[in-house]
Amino acid sequence: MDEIRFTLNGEAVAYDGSAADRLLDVLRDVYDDRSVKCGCKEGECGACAVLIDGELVNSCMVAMGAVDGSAVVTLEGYRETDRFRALDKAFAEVTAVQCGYCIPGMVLAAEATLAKHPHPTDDQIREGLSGNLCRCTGYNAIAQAVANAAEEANGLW
Amino acid sequence: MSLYFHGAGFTGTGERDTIKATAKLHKYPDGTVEVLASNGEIGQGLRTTFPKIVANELNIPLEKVFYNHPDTARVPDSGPTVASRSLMTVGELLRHAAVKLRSDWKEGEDQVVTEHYKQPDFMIDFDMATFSGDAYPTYAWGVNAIEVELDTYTGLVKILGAYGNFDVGTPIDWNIVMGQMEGGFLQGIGYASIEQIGYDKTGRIRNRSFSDYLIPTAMDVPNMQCLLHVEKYPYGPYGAKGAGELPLVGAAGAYVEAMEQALGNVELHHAPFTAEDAIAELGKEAE
Amino acid sequence: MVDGFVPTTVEEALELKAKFPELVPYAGGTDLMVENRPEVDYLFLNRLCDLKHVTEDDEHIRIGSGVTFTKAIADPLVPQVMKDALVKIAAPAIRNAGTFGGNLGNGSAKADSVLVEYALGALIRVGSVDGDRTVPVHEFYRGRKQLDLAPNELILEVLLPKANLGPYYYEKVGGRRALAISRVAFCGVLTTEANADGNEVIRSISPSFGAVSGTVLRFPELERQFEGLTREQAAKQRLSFVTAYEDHLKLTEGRVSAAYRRQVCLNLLGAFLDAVGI
Repeated sequence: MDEIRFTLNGEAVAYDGSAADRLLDVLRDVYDDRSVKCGCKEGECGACAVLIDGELVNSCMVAMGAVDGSAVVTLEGYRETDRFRALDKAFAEVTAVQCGYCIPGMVLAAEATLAKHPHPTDDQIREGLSGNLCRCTGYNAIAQAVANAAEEANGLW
Repeated sequence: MSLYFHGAGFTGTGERDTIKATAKLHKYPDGTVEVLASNGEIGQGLRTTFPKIVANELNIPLEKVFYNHPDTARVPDSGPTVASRSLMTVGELLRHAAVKLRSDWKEGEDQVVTEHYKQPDFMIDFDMATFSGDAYPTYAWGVNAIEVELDTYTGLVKILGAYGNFDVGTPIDWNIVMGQMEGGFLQGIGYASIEQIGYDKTGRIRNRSFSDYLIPTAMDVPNMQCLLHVEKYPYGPYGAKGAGELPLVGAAGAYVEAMEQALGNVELHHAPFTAEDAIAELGKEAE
Repeated sequence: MVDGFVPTTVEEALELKAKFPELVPYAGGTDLMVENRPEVDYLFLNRLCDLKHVTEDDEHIRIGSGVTFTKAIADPLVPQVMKDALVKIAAPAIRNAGTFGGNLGNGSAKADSVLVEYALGALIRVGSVDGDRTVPVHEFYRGRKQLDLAPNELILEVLLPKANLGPYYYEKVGGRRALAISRVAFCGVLTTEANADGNEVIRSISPSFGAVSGTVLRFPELERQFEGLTREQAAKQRLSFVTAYEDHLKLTEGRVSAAYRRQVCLNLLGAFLDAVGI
């Protein structure tokens, strides 16, 4: 492999570092996507979650070689969408953000959940967010925000 | 079920004798007001609630008041961000400062108002030798009830309901206070049930990672409901009391008591009370 | 500097593995990246469509080693007993990446899909440039982190024998309701057949215990006690059956004590026997 080609938030990029490098580190340090948070480096917290080809994946668990040919979306790209604006409004309205560290991953987990279940039950929301740890909120407000976004979204998902 | 309280602010005369908090408001010529205090925003919402108090007292829009992350080179020492004190103690200092600024408001001028902590008159000094007097100026109160279903094969517990009624005085921002109550309550439930810390033979803590130190996920307590009960504290801003620590405190008592009932009126005396503890207890009963 | 290989066909992957046996096969990355060894060269299998099939033939349900848990949960061919285990693996982001091949290749007794494979008597198909071979899962695991897999071989497929599907009992004991590594896990399946007299008798019974020892534990020599018996006959021998397991369950201590694990294993064995009417 000469270089690793993928799209990052819709833009074609080529990475010529090691194929064994972590996607998490590359996103933060090379592409400056600092919304991607490092919580645990073992897939246990979801703070580094991104979308790869539309699916929620923890970027700490991805080696760069596996990204070749993929479409990677971080919050930096997702925030340009109408879906983000719906979630942003819903999160703000119920004060679903406290310290904020989990929120980029949480928002992308919400997107993945709503993409799968446009009219989610509380159980589906909580399962969708279950890989994203939050120590501040107790999750009620976040789950409520996702439910509200779904209800007000009007066909966005 | 648990009924409990938690002291708000520093113990005894700590605020007066040790902390000696000072807070400032800086009004700029354009009419915006900056809050100057040393309390950190860590998600508990001070950058919202401090300006809300000041804007309300000055009767100006909230957008005109701001609180930057404190830089200790610029801000006075209003004490640490601990002890459920920031909103109650420093918030009240800021309210007093705002009252002063309002009465001395000079349009278009640059003004700074400073306020120093004064211990409320009613407090009886706490004597550290005899442990008598007012340990705290006031208390926040809570009632928690937790409903459990125990799987007697595995010791796993399903939390059917977790209910908390919390008195932290007047909520300056209902959403923020509710977020604090829900977050603290879930943390308390985690502490009561799964957040076990173990040691190896050399005394090192074995929980070195997120896969070893388990905190609740979004699926663990899906049915947590919190309420606010308001008993105002006259010396806190608009009756607000300490809120930060209260919601964590009562969960273990409520949870472990629920486990006592689930296991058949045994007496249990420790937290966390884990699945392993439940199976051990069932084993004792079987003998 | 880009190392690592991204083959586009299984043949190409096997040729690379023959030429560079030190290549580390990379499927979902969810175990490998915890270790994060920057010095290794990965053989990236995640794009190999040939390993992402779920199909069936007369005897087996065949699951490609590159099938993710999310995909398997949604696939109508994957048996419910397997899905019961898959839905409890970690959380969506892990299930979107983690694969059957990776769960096997990691060599852990805590691998949730592997426990079900033990209980179903699954076969593992591995391949190399020299050809394929199929090995029962309990032989594929030689010990903790030790697999019957040569340096030039790759895991290609998991074969679940249809004849071994039947009433089952599955339970996972984790530290919480999601993102939980198994502390004890149990899977047992009962199959029956008509004997010469036309009575329904036990053909196989497969209590299997995960996460409690170096490998998943299953005891064929104890299972034989019930083979050929009717449920009623087996029920009369239940005590000696369970006692034999009590004697054989030698468990390791982990995040929980060996005593807890042992008690839970026996409780779940009892629950399984209750569930299948023994």
